[in-house]
Amino acid sequence: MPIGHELSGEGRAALGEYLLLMADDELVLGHRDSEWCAFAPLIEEDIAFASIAQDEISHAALWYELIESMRGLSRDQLAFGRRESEMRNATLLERENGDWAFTVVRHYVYDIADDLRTEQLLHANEPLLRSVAQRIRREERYHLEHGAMWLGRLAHGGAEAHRRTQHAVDRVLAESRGLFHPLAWEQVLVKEGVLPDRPSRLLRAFVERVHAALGEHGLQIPSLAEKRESRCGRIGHHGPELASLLQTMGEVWRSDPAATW
Amino acid sequence: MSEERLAAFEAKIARGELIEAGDWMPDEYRRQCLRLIVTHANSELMGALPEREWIPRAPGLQRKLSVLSKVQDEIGHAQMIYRVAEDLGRPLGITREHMLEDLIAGKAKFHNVFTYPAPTWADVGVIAWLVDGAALETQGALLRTSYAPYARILRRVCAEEAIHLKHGEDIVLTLAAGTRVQRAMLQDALTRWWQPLLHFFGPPDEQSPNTELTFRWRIRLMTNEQLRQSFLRKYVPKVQALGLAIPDAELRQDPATGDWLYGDPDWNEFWRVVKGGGARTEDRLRLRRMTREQQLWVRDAMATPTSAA
Amino acid sequence: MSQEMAVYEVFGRERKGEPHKHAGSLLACDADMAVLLAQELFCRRKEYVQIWVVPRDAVRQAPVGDAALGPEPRRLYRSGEGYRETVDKWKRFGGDRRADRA
Repeated sequence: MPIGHELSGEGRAALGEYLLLMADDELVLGHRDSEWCAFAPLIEEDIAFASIAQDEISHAALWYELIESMRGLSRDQLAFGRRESEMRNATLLERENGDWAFTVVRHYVYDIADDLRTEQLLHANEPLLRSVAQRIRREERYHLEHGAMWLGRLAHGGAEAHRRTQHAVDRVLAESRGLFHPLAWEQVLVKEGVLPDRPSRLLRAFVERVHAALGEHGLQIPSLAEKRESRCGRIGHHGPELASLLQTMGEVWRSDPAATW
Repeated sequence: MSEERLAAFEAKIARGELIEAGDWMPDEYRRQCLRLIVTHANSELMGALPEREWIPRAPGLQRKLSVLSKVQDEIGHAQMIYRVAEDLGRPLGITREHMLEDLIAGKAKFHNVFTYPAPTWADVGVIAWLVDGAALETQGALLRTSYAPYARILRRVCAEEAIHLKHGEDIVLTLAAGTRVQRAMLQDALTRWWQPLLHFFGPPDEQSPNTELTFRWRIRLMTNEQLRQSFLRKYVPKVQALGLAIPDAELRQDPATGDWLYGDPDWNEFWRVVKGGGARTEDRLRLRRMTREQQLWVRDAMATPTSAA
Repeated sequence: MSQEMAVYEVFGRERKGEPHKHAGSLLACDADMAVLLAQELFCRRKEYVQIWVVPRDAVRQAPVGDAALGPEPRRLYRSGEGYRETVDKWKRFGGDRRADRA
């Protein structure tokens, strides 16, 4: 039976939105991560980071697969066939990679958010959600260790590295609130018993964990409270960076969406 | 270096014994091995460049993952091979940093085949199937090299190349069975890669310097032509079975020996590219130079001792 | 080697019950980084269930033998080779009645 068959029409629509949101986050970040391949600062790190990129893309595939039966679209159609305004990833994740400090900080902060999200999903009432969350969490444990290691290394790596890390923290946290933007359909998921609570309410735990993770390295942590993003990816408002990303990503696939590649 | 030591060394080689990193070896043996091994490592690193351009553009989640995995493996090969080279080069004070600096300064060799452009998705398939297929021929032969540390890592390199071959084959077979546009894309890629593939195995033996000692000391065991023939015997029938045209009107099999006779593949072009004149050589080296400069601050951060570590 | 990096050797256990065997080496700036990187360098295809990562400087070497010389005759008591004649000594007692000869 396809996932969500026991929910109301509204419930199924809400679940579809949430799955797309998670899938798009993972796909866009995984794509950005993969852009480092062959150019990471150390050959050994290049190899490790390529695994992280593969993990994110394959996590996206897991979420898209759940949506396939709900929407009657293949996972490739979902990943490659949607327009910019239909994408639900957070704006933070579509930003270009910048320097290694931005990449490390963004990925680490996102991994904390994803950890909270998947932890909540371990308590979802739908077994498919729980099992995908479990699979993802097994791989994410490494990501968190890897991120913590690099954050420490860069924050304590001398004046320039510290400066760049601080700058990265400022930029990343200015947009991190968008990861937990409250959305209208969240309440439906709670009402129909899919999730124990609205995912956007994880923001508070997220702020605490980010403070703990970054604070131990002598980094100043800008407040997330007052920031307002100019664009909110969660409701399909994206910038030219996503447009360019989608164009590159879809270049071959869209040349013939009906073909087998 | 005494005559007796050299004679004992050569007797050891002739008995089929292997040389480890800490064993005594003639300086020239070390240098010949280094040349071969560093060129290989450089080639894996440079080979990643045309292919990585296609990771962001791979058509489909599965292809995206498998191209990324393949490029990751190539960089993994570079890592393993540079380690072997660095250990071998230690008595000469040669480190991986020196090797990388020489590479991006245009002073070091890497295989010509990685200086060519990869303009279409079909190139990704052709490279993974046929270029990796060619690499597997040479690397497979080197599994029996006398220098043991190299032979050991080559086992893993070859095992991974065999997977890349399947990945490339899968892309090629999909395109060959696809739309008219896909089949035309595939034919175009094959037409452009055929000559670089023949060049991959190196010039005819008469034109190759440096070879006598590499064979006497069993650093290499098969000649350029033997390897080229091994490749042609395996792959010409398969390419033809796909209905693809090989751009060599003179290509035919000698019924007596089974060897493939082929038209002259323009060895002048080969030498021109070896000397740094490849279509993408300068671009790719410049790109590597630039990214390396941009990363200098990270290397400094890694050199800073941290109490947090 | 590069001034900021050291070589770390990696040993992996393929399956429970197996001893660790040498998997390869890598450059890293400290042991924490080495352990994390080693996981993706050598274990991304799940080749091992567990790895040890050791700075090469901690590894001591010693040349211990030359296979070309053959076994040392004065030390045959350390292997089955030294007890070939035991079979003959059983003859006094009617031969070596082993269960598998019944």
